[in-house]
Amino acid sequence: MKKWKINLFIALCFLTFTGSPVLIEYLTTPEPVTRNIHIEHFRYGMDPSIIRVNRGDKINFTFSTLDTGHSFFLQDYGIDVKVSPASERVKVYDPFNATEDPYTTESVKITAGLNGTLKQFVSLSRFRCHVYCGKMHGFEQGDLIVRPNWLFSGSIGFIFAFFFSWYIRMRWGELKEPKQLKKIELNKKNGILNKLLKWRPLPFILTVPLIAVFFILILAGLFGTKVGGRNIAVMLTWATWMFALTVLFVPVGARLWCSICPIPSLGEYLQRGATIGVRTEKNDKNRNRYFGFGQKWPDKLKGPWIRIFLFLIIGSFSASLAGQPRWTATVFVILISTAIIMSLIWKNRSFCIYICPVSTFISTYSPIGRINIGARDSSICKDCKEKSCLNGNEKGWACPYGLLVPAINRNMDCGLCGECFKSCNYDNVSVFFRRGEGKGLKLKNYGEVWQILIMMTLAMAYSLTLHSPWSKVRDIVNMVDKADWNSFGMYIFSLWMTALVIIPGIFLLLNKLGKVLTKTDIKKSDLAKRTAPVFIPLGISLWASFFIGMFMPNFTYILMTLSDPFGWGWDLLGTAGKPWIQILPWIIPWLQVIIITTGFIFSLKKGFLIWHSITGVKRDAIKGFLPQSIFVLMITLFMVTYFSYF
Amino acid sequence: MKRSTIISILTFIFIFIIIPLIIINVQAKKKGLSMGEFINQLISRAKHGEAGVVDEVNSKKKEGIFKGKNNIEFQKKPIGNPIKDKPWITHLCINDLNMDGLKDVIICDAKLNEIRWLKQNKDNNYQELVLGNKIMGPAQVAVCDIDKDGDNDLLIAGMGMIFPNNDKIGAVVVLENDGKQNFRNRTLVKNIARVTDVRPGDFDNDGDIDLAVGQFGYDDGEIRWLENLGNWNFKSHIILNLSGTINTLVDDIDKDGDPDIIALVSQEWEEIYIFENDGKANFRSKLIYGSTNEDFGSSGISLSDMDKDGDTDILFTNGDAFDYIPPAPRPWHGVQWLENRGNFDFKYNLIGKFNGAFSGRTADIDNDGDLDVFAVSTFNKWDDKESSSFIWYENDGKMNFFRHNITSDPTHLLIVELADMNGDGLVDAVTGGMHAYPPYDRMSRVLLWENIKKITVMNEK
Repeated sequence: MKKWKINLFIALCFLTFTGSPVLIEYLTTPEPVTRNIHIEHFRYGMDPSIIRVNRGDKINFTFSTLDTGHSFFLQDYGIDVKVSPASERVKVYDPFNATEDPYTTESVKITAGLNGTLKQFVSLSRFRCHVYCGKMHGFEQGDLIVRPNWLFSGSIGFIFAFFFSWYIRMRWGELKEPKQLKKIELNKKNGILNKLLKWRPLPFILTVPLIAVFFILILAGLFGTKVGGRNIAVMLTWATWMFALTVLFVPVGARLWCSICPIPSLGEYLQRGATIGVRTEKNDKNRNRYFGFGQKWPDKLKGPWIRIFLFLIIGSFSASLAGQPRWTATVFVILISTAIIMSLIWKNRSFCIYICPVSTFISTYSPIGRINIGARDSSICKDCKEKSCLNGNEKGWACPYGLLVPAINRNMDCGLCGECFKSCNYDNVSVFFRRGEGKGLKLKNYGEVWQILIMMTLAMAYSLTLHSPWSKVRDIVNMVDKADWNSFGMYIFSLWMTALVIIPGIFLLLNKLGKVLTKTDIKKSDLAKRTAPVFIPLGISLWASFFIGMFMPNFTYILMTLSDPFGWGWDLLGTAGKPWIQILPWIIPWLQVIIITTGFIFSLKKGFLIWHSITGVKRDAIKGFLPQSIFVLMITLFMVTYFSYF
Repeated sequence: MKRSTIISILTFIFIFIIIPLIIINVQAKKKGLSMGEFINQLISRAKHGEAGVVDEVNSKKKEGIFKGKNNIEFQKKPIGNPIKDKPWITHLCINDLNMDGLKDVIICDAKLNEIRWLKQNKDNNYQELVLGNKIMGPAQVAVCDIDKDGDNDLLIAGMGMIFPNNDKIGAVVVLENDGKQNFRNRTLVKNIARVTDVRPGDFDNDGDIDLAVGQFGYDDGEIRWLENLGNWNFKSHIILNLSGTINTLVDDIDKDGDPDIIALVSQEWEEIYIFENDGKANFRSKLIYGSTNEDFGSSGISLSDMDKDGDTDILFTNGDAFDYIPPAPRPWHGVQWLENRGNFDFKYNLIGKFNGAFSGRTADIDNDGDLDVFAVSTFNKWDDKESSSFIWYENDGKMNFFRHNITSDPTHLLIVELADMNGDGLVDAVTGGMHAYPPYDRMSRVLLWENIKKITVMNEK
C-alpha cells in the first residue's frame, strides 16, 4: 500500500478514534444544573467518594462526620473545608493562604470546572483529608469528576487510535529495522570519568553518606514520631526513594542505585575486610582474600524466586508499611542484618542477587536503563587469560555479581559497582550510554518471566488499593488500625493468585495462541523468556504513575521531614512548619495517563520487534504478537480508565 | 594500620556513634534531661509505645486503702442561656469580673465562637452576655488586668478550630475591659499553631505582665512566652517545639522568687515540663514526668499544695479520647498527682482510675483541713447510665483518696471550677458540657452545683 494511503488511514484512525469519543463526550454532557451534595466523612473516606458533575454545575456541598474531625481538601478549587463532629457548620480555609481567617458556613458553593487555558482540560480533581484523623489518614481521598471528561474520552480514544494505526503501519507499511545507534562511551581512556572510576575510594565516598542517611532513617523510624507524614523514615523511603528509583535511577542508570546502595555495603565491607583497599592471598595476587565462610550459594536456591516472594510479602503489607515509621525501620533493619549475615556465610553479593526485594524491582526494569557496562574492545577480552574482572586481583575485587565483562549482554545482572574498571589490566572496561532500541533481551529462566509479570500485577494492585477513591478497598489493606484479617486474607489470596497464577497463566495462553497463529516451532519456555520483556515498559510506567501519585501530593511533607526528621520539633532547614500544598494536583491524572500511554506504546514496539525476531516474517510477527498486544491494550485501557474515570 | 582503614573507622565512628550522640544531645538539652535520661526515655517508649500499656510509674498508693467518711450533696442548676444546639463549652473560669462582690462565670463557647459572661445578680441568678467579638475556637479564658488599668481583662486562647488541625490558625487574644465591662478584642498574636492556654506572669521581672502561651497545634505545636513591650506590643520567644501542649501554668514552683512555667504536652509525648526561669526570662526546660504510654491521653493539669507541705504540687488527669472512633474510655484513664519533693524531683501518685478524666481541681469540700480532689469525665461509657461524669475524691489527710460519684447526668463534662458562688462559705462547683459525640440524651451547657450543706457521714467498715 502506498505511503500516502497508509498515512491517510492513520489520520482517519486518529480522527475517528480520538475525535469521536471527545465529540460524543462534549455533545452528551448535559447543561449545567444546581446540585446539592452532602458529603459524610468517616475514618478513612467520604461518602460519596466519587462525585460526578458537569462543567458549569453549581454545587452546594454540605458536610458531616460520623466520627472525628475531617476535612474536604480540594486544592484545585481552593477550598479546605474543616468538618467537626456534632456541627452542621463548617469552616472554610483557603489552602493557599492557610493562615487567613476562615469563614463559617453551612454549605460550600463551587462551580464545577476550572478556568484557565490549560485548566479547562482538568476533569478530575482529587479531594483529600487535611486533618489528621488516624494512622491511615494520608490515604483518605476521593474524586470530583467533571464532564466533559476530556482526559478519559481523549486518552481512551487515543490509545485505540494508536493501537489500530500502529497495526495498519505494521501490516501495510514498510518495516523499519530499529536503528542500532552506536553506544556513547562515557569513560574514554585518559578521561576524567575513567580516572574517577578507577579511583578506589569513589564507591566508599558515594556510599558512606547514604549509610548515614539510612541509619538516620532507621533511628527516626524506631524512635521518632509515629505520625508517618512527619517521620523521615516514611517520607524518604516510600515517597522519595521509591519515586527516584522508578523515574530516575532505573530508566536512566539501570542498576546504578545498586552501586551506591547502603543496604549490602556494611556486609560487603565485613566480607572484604576493607572499605577501600583490596586484599589478596599472600601467595597469589590474583586471588582476593575474604573474611567469612565464602560458601557458594546453593544451586537449588538460585534464581529470583526468593526475592520475588519477599517482594510479594512486603508488597502485601505495603499500606501498613507506608503508614508506620516503625514498620519501615524494622524492614530496613531486617534487610541490613540479613545482608551482613549472608555476606559472612556466602561469597559475593548473594544477598543482592538472590534475596534483596528492592533488587527484584530494579533488575526487572533495568533493561530499559540507558547505562551499561561492557568491554571497550571485545578482542582484547578474547585474548585475556587472567579474567581479572571475574576473578579479581590486587587492583580490584572479583565481580560481586559473578560476571565476566565481555559476557554482560543485559542490564539485569550488573550492579555497576565498578570493580572491573579497577581490576582490568588492559583498561578495557567501559560504561556506555545506550541509544535507541536495545538488542532483544532474553531471560534466563521462568523465574525472571514471572518476576516481570508479578511486578506489573503489584504495580496495578498498589494503585488500586492505596490510591483508591473507595474507602472499603483501602480498609481491606489497612492492617494498622482496621486489621480485618478475613478481608485481608481474601485480598492476599486474590493478589497472590493474580500475580502468581492468573496473569502468568494468561501470558502463557496468549503465547500459545501466538505460536499457533504463526506456526513457529520455538520451544514454549524459550518463547516465554523472549516475549515476557514486552511487559517491562508497561510495568515501569504503571509503577511510575503510582509513585507520582505518592510524590507530588506529599512533597511538602518531604520538605517538612527533611527539616525535622524525627518529628521532635526541630527546624533544620526552616521548612518544618510549611503548610501542606500539593504540587500541581490537577496535572497528576494527566501525567499518570501520559506515562501509562507511553509505556503502552513502548510495549507495543518492543513486542513487535521481539516477535519479528522470533518469526523473521513481518506478517507472522503481527499475527504472533496480536494476542499479547490485545492483552497489553486491555491492561492499558483498564489502568487509564482507573486513573481518569475513578 | 593503613590510612584508608583509619579513615574508614573514623567515618563509621562518626556515623554510628557521633551522629546519634549529637542527635541525643540536642534533643536531651531541649527536654532538660541528661543524655542518659533521654536514652532511657527513648528505649522505654520504643518498648511500651503502643496503646494498651497502663502507666503507673512508682505508684505505691493504690485505690481502696481509705474507705471514705463523708459524702457531700450538690444541687445542680443550669445557669446562663438554655441549650439550643449541642453545647461546646470548652472552658470556664470563675471571677468577680465587674468587681461587684459576686462571683461571675466566664465561658468559652466554641460552638458560637464567643466568650460569654454569666453575670451573677444579687438574687443569685445569672445573666448571659457576649463579650467582645467572635474568637474562632476559644479554648481557654483567664482573668488578668494585663494593662494595669484597675479592671479585669480577659486572656483568650484561640484554637481556630477545636478539632484536629495542623494549620496555623491559632491566636492569642485579649478582651480589653474599658472599666465598664465593655470589651474590645486585641489580637496579640495570630496565625500560629492552635493556642490552648494563655497565662499571665512577669517573667522578665520588668513590672509588666508577660504571657505564657501553650499551642497544641497538631503535628506542629509550640510553647512560647510573649514579652510585653508596652502599648500592646508583644514579642514572641519560643521555648519548646512540640505538638500537643494543653496547659502552660505559671507558678514559682522552685520558690526562687520568679515565675516558672509548668506545661503539659500531650499527643504522643505525654510529658510534663517545668521551664525554670532564671529571673530574666531565660528558661531552662526540665522534664519532670513522661508516660511510657503514647496513648496516655493527658487532659490537663492544675496546681495546688496538695499535701500542704508548703510547695506546689501538680494535679494531673488523663482521659482524652478524642483520637478514638468512637471516642471511648481507656482502662488507664484517671487522676493522679505529682508530689513536689524539691529540686525538680516529682513523685507520681495515683489517686484513682476514672474513665475520660478531665479538669482535676482541688478544694477542701468537707472542711476537714485537707484538699479533696474533683474531676469530670468527657469520655465515659455513656451507654451505661451509671457511668459518672462528675466525681470527687475524699482525702483522709494522709493523701489516701476515696471516690464519691456526684452524678452521671449530664454526660460529657469537660471543665469544672470550684468556688463559693453564693457566699455561704461552702465550696460550690460550675461545670461546662462538651457534646461533640453521642449520646445526646443528657446534655448540659453550664451548670452550677450548689453545695447544699448536707454532709452524709458514711459508715466506717
